[in-house]
Amino acid sequence: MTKNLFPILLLSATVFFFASCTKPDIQFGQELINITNTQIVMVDTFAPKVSTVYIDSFITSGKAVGLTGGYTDPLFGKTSAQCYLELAPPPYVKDNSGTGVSPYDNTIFDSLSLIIKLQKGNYYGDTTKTIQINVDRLSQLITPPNNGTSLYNVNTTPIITNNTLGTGTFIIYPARTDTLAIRLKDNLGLELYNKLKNSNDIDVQNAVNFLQYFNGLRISSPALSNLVIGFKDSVIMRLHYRKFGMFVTNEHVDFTVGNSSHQYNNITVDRTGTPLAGINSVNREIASETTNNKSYLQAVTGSMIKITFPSLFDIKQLPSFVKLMNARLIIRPIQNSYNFYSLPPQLRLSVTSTAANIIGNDISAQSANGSAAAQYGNLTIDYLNGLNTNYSYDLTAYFKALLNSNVAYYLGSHNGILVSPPSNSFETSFNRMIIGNNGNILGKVELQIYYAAVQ
Amino acid sequence: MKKIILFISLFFAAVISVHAQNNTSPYSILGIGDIESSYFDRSSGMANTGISLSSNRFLYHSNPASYSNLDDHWFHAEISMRYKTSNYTGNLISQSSNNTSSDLQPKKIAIAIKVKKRWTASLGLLPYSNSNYSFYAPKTVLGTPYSTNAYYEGSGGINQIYFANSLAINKNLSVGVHTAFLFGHMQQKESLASGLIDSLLVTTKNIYYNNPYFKFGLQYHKKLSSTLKLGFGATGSFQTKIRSTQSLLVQEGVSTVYSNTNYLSEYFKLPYSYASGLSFILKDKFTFATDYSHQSWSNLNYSGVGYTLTNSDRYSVGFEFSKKVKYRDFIFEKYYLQSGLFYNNSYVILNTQQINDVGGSIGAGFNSLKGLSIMTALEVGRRGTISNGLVKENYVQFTIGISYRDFWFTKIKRYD
Repeated sequence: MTKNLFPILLLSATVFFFASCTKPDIQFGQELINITNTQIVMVDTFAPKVSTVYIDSFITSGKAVGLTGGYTDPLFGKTSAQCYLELAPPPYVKDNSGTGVSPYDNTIFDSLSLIIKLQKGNYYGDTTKTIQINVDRLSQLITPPNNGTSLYNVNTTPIITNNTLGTGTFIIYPARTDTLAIRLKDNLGLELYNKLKNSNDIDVQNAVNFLQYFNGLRISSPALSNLVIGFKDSVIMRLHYRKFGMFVTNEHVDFTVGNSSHQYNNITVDRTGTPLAGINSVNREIASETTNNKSYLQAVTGSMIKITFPSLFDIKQLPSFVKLMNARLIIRPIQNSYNFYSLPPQLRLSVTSTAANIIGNDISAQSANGSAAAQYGNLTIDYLNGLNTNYSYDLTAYFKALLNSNVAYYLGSHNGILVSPPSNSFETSFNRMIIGNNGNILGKVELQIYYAAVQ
Repeated sequence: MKKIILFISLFFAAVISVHAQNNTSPYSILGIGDIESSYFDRSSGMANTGISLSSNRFLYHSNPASYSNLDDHWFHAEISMRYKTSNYTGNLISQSSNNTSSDLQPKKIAIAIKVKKRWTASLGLLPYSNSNYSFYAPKTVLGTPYSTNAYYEGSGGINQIYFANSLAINKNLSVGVHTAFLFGHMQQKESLASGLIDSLLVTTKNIYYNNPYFKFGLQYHKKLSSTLKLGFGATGSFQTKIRSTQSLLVQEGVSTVYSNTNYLSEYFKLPYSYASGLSFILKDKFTFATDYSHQSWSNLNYSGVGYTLTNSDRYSVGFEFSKKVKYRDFIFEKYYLQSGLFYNNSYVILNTQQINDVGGSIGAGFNSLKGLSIMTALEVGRRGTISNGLVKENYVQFTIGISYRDFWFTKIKRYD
């Protein structure tokens, strides 16, 4: 009998062997799908509330960018910017060789100039017009307010009036111009030359002494400018002199920016006659409904956009709602609002929960590997008719957290999302954006909610 | 008897180890899946033509009346398994993808006991239907022109545990009742890929079926002459409601989003059906048999987008050559050879096209004097069509069955 059992055992073994076959996918009759209980539904009827928010002040020191100039924007007002900076003397070469030879022996002073290196692409306004740049000497030290370490857009430092060191007028060719040079007064140049030459003069022998003697410079433009430019904080005041030897050689020494954290920009804006005329430190928020269904963003001049979702918790009342699967915020700049004045290439979203609309944490998206990824909106520009120009954001994690928490998100609370450029662009770039609310067909903010519905 | 227990437990070990189905069957997404037309018995080699046939040694499951012809005093046991390989063609299937599937599965276990001289009882496990499919399809996100990628997967089936009684009314006529309990589980799964949604969303629907089911049969055999024997058989069953309960589970990753263990409770109706068969046996050697069976799905009005369930008819013919030898007054069959053809209009009309199944089979079986028999059958068929955007399945299946019998009452003297 055992002989007869052998085929059975063999068969059982074969069964085990074949158990690991693969199952092919046969694409077939999509309409036959018999499991239709779960549906993914997209709704865009949760109208976000949009408003323009006033920015009190922001740090402009230590941003490695200087600004000067001004222009008049019909929507954002008359803007002007000026840059303040401190200089440090060139390294002091002490006569310690015992030969009694100084680098300034057998030399004569030639000239003094200020060299400004432009920041490529950072200009705003009408580049067909000239820009005048004035250089003034400060009459006081640059001092951060309130014993702090930072300087703000609203700060200024006094200058020695009616004694402009130099003036230059330039046409900026955005693709070409990279350096501007302004001739400064010879009497200052000669004074510095003599101090360098005189080894008994301690003013130029170290930075601390030099600062007491020479408080710094203001780089500014007259009130009626048509252009604002950004330049690198590596401004150089160059002293040229001639040295006599076998041949006559042209030599120079540079006074460079000593403390870059004391380099700052003052930015002022006059909003008279613009839609934002009423916004100020008292009236901090203007709803888009009162400004023709539009809201305005130009952080450097003190306005940004706040978006709130008053009806967010109604999501749970959606038919058959079981879970929020995706939330996308689409921000569409108003058509034709960015033909002349460029859009910010990047905009971040930050949470806020205070009446002062203090910028909180940036809202990140979850990347494919699960880590948090910063989002800057992936600006796409529709050059054809502007209908599809937009920034888009993933708010899934933000909304999920809100829906799962007990955070009060009601009309009147200050919870919301602030739209602003990322740091550094925020303080130094004049790029601006105008968006519409849900009632503005020329460019509306849209919240797309994808949710799973189980029937 | 010990050997029989060993035999059965071995089979169950195999069943437990291979419950995974691999054979995709696209049409099995509909209704209760593909209804099994094979009985995994001796008739498999004759294209499952067996309604009018009976045997002293083998079980013919197509007709419960047939069991009464089994030899007295014997205990019979049969197990079967099937290896099937399918290849799919159709306009929707790209050449490059993997279009072939195969699997080997235990299909049947049955025992029969001659309770009394005229009364035989049989108990067993048989498949009733199975469902197995998988494919990718886009799923529209409502409210948008976009769709998300979805993967659909279905598996499971309905089995039956039956208890059949067969009674020989006289020398020529026997009747039988096949009492089955249908039970099964089908799982349908939809996986929505992340992309437009932030994570994988898997919806699993489990459908459980259970209900009793009856089939009645009769067989009539008569010798027309000294060399020619006529057989006639018929079976029928009433419309039966199968209770089905559904549970629904929606998961995002590992976290449950929605769960309802009693989502839906309803009935699925099996239609009334009938079948009949006719056979001639010449010189106890050559058998010609033909079957016709009908399932009346039309009046149940099952339909959906693009499909309806319709009446299903199956026609088959089979031929068998049996090599028998005589030991004194004891006739022993050494082996048999079979062939058969069938045509089946399945119960599915899809895109106005009724899905048919046509094929042929050959079979062979060998018996040992000691009680062990091996039955083999090779079936080649084609199901469906590639017209109207449908899928054609070409399949080859090999069924192997092992029959074993032993004396039921050991005190009776054995003669073999």
